[in-house]
Amino acid sequence: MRRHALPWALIAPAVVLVGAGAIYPIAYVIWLSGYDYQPYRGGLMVWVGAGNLARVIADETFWHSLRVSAIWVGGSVIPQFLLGLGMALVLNESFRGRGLVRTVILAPWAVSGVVTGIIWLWIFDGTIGVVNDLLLRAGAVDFPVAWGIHEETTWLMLLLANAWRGAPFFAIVLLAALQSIEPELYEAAHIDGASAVQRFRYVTLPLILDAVVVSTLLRALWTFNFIDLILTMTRGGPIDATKTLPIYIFDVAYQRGEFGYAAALSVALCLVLVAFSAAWWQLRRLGGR
Amino acid sequence: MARGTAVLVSREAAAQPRAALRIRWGRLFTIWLPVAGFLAFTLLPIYWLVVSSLKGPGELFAFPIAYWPDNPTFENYTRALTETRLGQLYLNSLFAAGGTCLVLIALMVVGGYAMARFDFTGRSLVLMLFLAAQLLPPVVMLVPVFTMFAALGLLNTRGALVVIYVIMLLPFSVMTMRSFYAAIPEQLEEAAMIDGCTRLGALFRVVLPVALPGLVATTIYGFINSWNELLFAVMLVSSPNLQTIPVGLMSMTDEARTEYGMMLAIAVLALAPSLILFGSIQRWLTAGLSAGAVKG
Repeated sequence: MRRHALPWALIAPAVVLVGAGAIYPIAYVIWLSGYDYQPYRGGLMVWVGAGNLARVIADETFWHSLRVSAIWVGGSVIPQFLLGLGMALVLNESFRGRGLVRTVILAPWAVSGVVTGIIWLWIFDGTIGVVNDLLLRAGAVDFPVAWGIHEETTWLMLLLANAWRGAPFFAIVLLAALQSIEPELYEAAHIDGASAVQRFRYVTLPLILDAVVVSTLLRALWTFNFIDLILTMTRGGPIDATKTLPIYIFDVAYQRGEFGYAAALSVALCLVLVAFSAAWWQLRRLGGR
Repeated sequence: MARGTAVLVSREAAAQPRAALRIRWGRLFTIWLPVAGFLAFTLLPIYWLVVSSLKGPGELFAFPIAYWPDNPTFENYTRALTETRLGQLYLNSLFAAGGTCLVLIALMVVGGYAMARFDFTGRSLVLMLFLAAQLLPPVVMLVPVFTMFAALGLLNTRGALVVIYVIMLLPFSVMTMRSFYAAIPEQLEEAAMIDGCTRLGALFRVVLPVALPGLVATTIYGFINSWNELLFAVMLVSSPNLQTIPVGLMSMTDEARTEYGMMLAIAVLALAPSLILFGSIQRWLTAGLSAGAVKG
């Protein structure tokens, strides 16, 4: 069936809105990245050409925020993936009460970044948090630990909170992939005498590999951009230790009001993401051979 | 695989009757212990939030801490309702999320149908646009959306958040509705059209009722996401009486510790709708919703 008027009439409002909300911002950010524009301070737009780009390259905080982003993404996606895979494998078995268990285990997916941050800030409270209480009772420490002022302990609490909220995403996607595998394949492998580990390695893994590659890439991109949790728990501190690139851009745009420079940083962010995605895809192709 | 395992167990049990006990023990380690671990990991933080919100000011800061309150009280909740702008925040969030859902429904019901049933010129371009839009980093959109909304006079209005949330959720919603429609046989509306329905009449009278569970699930997904959103809510709305719950909550983390009890109570109230709604769509997540899901 090839008629154009009706389907276009039906889809046009969505296309116009998404186009205005997605295409226009990209074009605007690229255009604005050539200007110095600080709307709260006079708001004059001054053409600086490649000046902003040069400033990005010379910006020590930019490179620092990239390294922080790498820790944030790697430290989030890897534990989330492993936890989520474990959840998916267990939830794919049949046992009594599975429906309820599945709902409960996947529930943190629906919890906002802000509420997640508050929950885990409270658990890791520097004086009366649960973690300090347990450590004191066990005699592991003599005084409550101020988790939020050391770099390592801040990362620990941030990444644990993110794992709590993020693991269900992988569980959901990987569970869907697992459920699409034909049961006969496991039967055949079992008859051939394959152990549980071998069945996972030679039946399950190859069949969910595409889901793994796609979901880890999407999750890495999404985590890179996810700032709610960091804003709630650390605001990028202590002393910029958890200042990822999006947090830095948010600061430059929202706190400092330097829209032109924020746009230049945004362009740099997009380039980083495109390069990362291309590298990931290349890795998948090499690994697939 | 669930069915496969059942088959395997019964065969094994038939071949070796004495193996039944061994298999039970095996299930303890392969199923029940991991299940218990995952449940604890998921539930204990929420348990702790709820229990803490039920403690009075004296007990909340007592050390060593009590894992069950001696005198559970709703004091934090009543104080939050009377002494903070919780009611206002709640209404603002309801307006933003509810308004987003209404607009989303209107646009995705027809948009998803067009993508599912028609092969029109430019269809693949639309697909690419929707895919690309889902991958666009929100923080990159921050400055352009701010200046665009400033030019349109949308800053600090109730409509601002509805507009941006609709834009952000539309690609996912349309693509998800498309997959729900695609699962419905086309003969259904062909029969209705032979009986004299127009194409749109067939959509609304015959196809949509069948796709209703999918529409509900996709709408709830949109509600949860707009209910939880923080970044644009901070950027586009600055006047306190228009702010949403996540913004209000985040600002409370800076306040004095005496306010902590109220903050925890508000966090519970912010969490409740998300969790209840999630419970109602959970079974769709592994089927329809994950098909178009890019966002976490």
